[in-house]
Amino acid sequence: MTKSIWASAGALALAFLTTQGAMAQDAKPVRGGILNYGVAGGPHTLDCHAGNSFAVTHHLGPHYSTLMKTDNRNYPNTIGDLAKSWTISPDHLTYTFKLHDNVKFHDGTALTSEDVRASFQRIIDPPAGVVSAWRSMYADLKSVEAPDKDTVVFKMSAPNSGMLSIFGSPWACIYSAAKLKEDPKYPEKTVMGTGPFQLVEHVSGSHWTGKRFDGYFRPGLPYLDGFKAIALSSTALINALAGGQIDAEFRGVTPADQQRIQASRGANIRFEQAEGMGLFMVSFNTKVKPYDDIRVRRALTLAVDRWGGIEPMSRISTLKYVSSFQRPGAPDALPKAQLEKLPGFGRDIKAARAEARRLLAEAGVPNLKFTLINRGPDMPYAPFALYLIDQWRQIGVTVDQQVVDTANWAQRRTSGNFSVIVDVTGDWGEDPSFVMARFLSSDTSFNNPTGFSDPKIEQLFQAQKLEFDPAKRTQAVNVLENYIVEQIFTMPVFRTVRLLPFATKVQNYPVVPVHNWLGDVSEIWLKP
Amino acid sequence: MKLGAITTSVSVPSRARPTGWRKMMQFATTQPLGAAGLVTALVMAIAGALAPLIAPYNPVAISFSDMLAPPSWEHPLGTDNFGRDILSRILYGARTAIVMGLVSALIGSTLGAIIGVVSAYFGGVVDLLIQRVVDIFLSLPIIVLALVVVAMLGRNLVLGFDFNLILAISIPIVPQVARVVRSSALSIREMAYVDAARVAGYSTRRIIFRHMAPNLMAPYLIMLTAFIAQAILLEASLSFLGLGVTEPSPAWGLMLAGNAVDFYRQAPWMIIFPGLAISLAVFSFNLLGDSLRDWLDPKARLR
Repeated sequence: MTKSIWASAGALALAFLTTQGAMAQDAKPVRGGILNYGVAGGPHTLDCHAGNSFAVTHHLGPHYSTLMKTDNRNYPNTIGDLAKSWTISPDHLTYTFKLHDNVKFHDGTALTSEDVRASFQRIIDPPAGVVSAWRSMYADLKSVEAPDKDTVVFKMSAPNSGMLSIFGSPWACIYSAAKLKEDPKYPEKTVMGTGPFQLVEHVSGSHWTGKRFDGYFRPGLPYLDGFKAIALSSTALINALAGGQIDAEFRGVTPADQQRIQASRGANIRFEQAEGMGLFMVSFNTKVKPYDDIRVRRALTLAVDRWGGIEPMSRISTLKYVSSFQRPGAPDALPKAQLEKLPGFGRDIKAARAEARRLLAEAGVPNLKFTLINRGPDMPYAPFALYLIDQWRQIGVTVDQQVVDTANWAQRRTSGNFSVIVDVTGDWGEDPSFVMARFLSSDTSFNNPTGFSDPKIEQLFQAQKLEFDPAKRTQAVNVLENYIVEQIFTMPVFRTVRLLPFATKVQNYPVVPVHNWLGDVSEIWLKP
Repeated sequence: MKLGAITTSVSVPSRARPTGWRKMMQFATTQPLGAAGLVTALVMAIAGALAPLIAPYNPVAISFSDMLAPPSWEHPLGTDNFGRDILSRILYGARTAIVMGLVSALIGSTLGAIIGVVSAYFGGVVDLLIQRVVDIFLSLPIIVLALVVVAMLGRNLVLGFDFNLILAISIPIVPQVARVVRSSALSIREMAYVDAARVAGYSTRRIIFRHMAPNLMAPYLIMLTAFIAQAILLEASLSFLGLGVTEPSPAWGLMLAGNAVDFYRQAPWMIIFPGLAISLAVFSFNLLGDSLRDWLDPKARLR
């Protein structure tokens, strides 16, 4: 069964790559047209540096450029966006970027290295009143300099093998230094970048429109005349796709939605998919009894039949892959053979459950009962929790589910007001330094709610972070991941699929795992 | 003038007080629809009580090999997207519906009746204040009021049932019953026997509970049965909205929510049968309430 899942995933990936390759070779892009796409939610801020949700990037993305960016076509490689070329010093402490010399802001002014410097300075050392949501990600950055108008130099306080991809963060939008000087908070009010589209209109709760920026620095791009992002509720969004009112949606739909949309649109719609970045997990509060006992945590992870459950779960939810902390297809992911040796990832569920019962009895809680805190939105939180509850029932554990809204869930999670909680991560990038950072000890990572601390995790994390040889780094990452999975303060279970619907006229948008950024919309074109 | 002992001999035809059984038969013959409602409600209650014995499957056990199975001999009402037997979930769900409906309606109606009779008895400022508060509560739609209460109270499991949810359903019932009971109590307050009790020096509590309350039993019972139906519907609505009973507990409203929304086109039995169960329960209690009203109301009997 599992072999077939992996085989199917491989075949799909291959088919996808082949399709994309064929598309790129055979089809000639056509200029013109307006892309209508839906977004289930409005941006909570107009400032990329303060944003942290897909609703922000799915609106702001087309208007801004970043220094580097993730390569959609060769995912997850990092390529230059505003950067034309770059060099890294042998000690990995200095990054020097040369910028494209023909970049203009939407107000017609030319972009210089000072704009890049001022933007990054705003992120790493925000002025009073400015929110920088991603400051901690740049903790190894000591200074930014702009020695001449085309060169930016970043000095590091410590080497970081994931730094190049961090420079490609979609949240690191480049703003105008002159405007920031006038008002450091101008990005909260004005959308003005160097991206392929200029903002035309934003009607909150209704729509967001953009038109082609003729001064865009990449010749011939963008292909589209413009776009219209329509704010819709999740249900209305599916209806709009089924009715043909919108051409695309970039976050992802469920398999049930796919069936419905496909039935309505027939040959006028197609779906593309990739492994998603949403990892569904369970976190234990290790400061609370009996979850301070690794035998109890181990029993609870052993009881969950990941391999047996994933195929049916993929038919009723967006959960499609058995996964550890890193995406199965990620360059540094644990090899499958190694993964299957970890607690909870074995193939023999009968033996695992027998061991789980033994461990619970040994820990003195043979009839364990607890309340599982789950987050409000239904998909895939509800089916995920139901599956877990049923799995635990089979080792004699009784679980009562408490569903709370997102704000309550987040508050309980960060304050440690839980015993067992459904946890999720949805990173924007693949670099292990970024992905694994949240699983550092609780006293180091504010994002680890479990109260678990172990200095060995930090040591292993640093070891991979300082390793620049790709093969050796993969090995170091595997050791780290292996160790964290074995501590079971957070147990990874299933990963989502990113399933995107496109009207057949929408061309040239490679689907990548990350839904938290929009990708390169400048290359999308519409088939007449 | 001396009043002598006057003895009269009046011949009254002897008429035995109807027994419980005869009353039931009388109700069944004069109110056949109400009797049908009562029987249906009783069947549901018994089915819920005996669910562990009669349900063919464990209502929470996932069986992916049976997912979205249509009605068959094996699963008479089909299965849901987790392969759970819908008949078993409906049978267990009857427990939730009947217990929540009955207890909520009982609490809400009793509290409402007490407030209504107290308001009517004291009159004046007390009545004015109570009725203005009742007005405020009545101005809010029942579902909105219940939503606010359930959101404020959170959860509090007692014997496997969420007592705060019961309270959330009860509270919107209170003002409605209070208003109706007050109007009946206002006329009873003017009755000679209440005056007599007052003159005899009985305590307020005794007058209210011993003399007035028994005479308000008819409107109370009618309201109680009517609100059982409302409470069942309210519980189903709150569960549907994700604020009531939580998965995997079987509850009818919950069976209509969640994944049912995604799969009802593929598996319409996922919503048809729980929907029918809710409708049948509400319909039966409404029939019972209406018939009780007609049966207990002498004016209606004369018409």
